[in-house]
Amino acid sequence: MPELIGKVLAKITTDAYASALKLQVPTQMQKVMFHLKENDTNDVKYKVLGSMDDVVYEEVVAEAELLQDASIKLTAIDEPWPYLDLQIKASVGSAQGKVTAYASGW
Amino acid sequence: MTKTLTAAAIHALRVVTVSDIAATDLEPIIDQAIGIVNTEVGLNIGYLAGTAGSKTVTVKDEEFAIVSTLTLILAINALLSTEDTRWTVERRNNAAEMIGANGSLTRRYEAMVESIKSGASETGAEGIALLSWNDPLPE
Repeated sequence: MPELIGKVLAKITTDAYASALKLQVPTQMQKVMFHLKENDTNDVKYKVLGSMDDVVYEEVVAEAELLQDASIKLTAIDEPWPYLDLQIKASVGSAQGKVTAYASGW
Repeated sequence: MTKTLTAAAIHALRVVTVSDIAATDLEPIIDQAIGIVNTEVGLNIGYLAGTAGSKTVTVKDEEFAIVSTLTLILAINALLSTEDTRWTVERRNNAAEMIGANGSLTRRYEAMVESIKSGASETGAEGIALLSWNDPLPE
């Protein structure tokens, strides 16, 4: 049964990538879906990393840009990663954005 | 037939109230439900659009049924996972029962998913149309 497994409200970016929403995905879940919204501050960049052990991470969703005040519904990640980490950063140095994100798994 | 899917329409089902979860907090959950339904059963329902707190999307009746059911499951799950003390123990127990393995919302959602996946029609629309909100659950 689908569940909300994480959310973060108005997370402020930094100039370098930093974790915005890190998930330990329940073992029975095979798919995870992220929805992101930039809270009308500045453009941001995001990517999603996956890990089997919470130590070594690899890119699952490639870097993309989320424009100021825009939102994006990412295609569900259809791989059983035990750990997922949504990372964000400012698109332009020192021009920080704010990201709200929700994640569901099933 | 179509319906307008909004946070207010979910509140009108009287399972979760505005004081349980405000419209602006419910809207992202509705979008999550839409995304899951689209992915899981292959529909192409649009997302909410408009001003936060009064976002809308027009959907078919049967799409409203499955999205509203899943929205309630996600919302109740989120409410139960917090330490919020606004709910009485009895209400928490009732809510947990609704989304449990044999709960009314869970069974309704699974029945609708199965109806679509089993190919009752090209979109499953006829199958899930039979499961409007107030209909009895299938045995």
